Amino acid sequence: MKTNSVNKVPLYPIIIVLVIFLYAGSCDKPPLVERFYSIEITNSSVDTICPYLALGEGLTQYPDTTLPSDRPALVKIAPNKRFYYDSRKTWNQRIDELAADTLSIFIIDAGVYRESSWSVIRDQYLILKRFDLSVDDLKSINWKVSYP
Amino acid sequence: MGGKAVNTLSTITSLCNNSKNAGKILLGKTYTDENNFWHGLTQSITRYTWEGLQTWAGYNFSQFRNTFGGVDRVDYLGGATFVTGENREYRQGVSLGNYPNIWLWDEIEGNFDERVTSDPIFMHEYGHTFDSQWFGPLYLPVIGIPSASGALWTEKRANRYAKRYFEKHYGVDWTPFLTLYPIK
Repeated sequence: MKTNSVNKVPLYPIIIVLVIFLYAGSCDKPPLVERFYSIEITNSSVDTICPYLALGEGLTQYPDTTLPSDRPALVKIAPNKRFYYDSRKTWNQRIDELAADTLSIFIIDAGVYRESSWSVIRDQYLILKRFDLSVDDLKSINWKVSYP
Repeated sequence: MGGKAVNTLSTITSLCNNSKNAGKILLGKTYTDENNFWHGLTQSITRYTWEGLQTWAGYNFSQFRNTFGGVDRVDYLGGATFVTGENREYRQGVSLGNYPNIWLWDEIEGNFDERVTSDPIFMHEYGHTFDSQWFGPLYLPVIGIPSASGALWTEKRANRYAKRYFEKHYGVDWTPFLTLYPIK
């Protein structure tokens, strides 16, 4: 007895797969996507900067606005460049975990950070600027901080 | 056969919307790591065998995303085809086979390699391509789903792979990223 069932391609699995792909390809957050919540820091100055975010975790945090005792490893942002501080938790959650509803961002000159010992930077408070931002402040600037 | 029908449909619809991106996604099927011969060789073997399911899913997802205008550029690095949407509402990513798909807030300016090595989201998603090679058909249930749900261990794994690869081939120092892209 002959059968031609092997030659038939069932349509419904293809349609289901197509619907999944069409949905995934067109939507804002497709399944399996890892979403990052970000604070953007833009360097609009002429010097390279190194921002330090006081995120707690054993280090300093607002209202303590001193620099931490250990030298943190910092990202360098060249003039007219930006960097995204990504978090899998929302920044609301992260900032809520701090001692106060405020995130301090210290801006340090890259040359000073590279050439000076951390104790000198810390003791002489060699920062260019400090931003103390609440969640509301960050929301109002759409999570985008621009230096200076 | 059904899989090939989906490939055909995704490729044709994508070509109709943006042929340049569609063509680059298509060519990404044959692109392997230029920085490491052995990694490139294993990629060419596992891509259509052990990790064939996610390669197929990544290819079709990328093409359908391009069909709907979600792709602004396609770039190659380390055997991966980065499919990127710019000026999007969120920063997010998903890595399926050798197709890391990225959504950015901003636009990529200048050299793509420079952007990748200074923006950890690209390196992190690249790190997941190693997981795909290791886990093969188990990648989606073991890594993909927990990772999308925010499991820390899958993120750390991807960061460790990314750190190792980009330190070795591009001289990237991962230490400034450790707070937000931890490895342990």
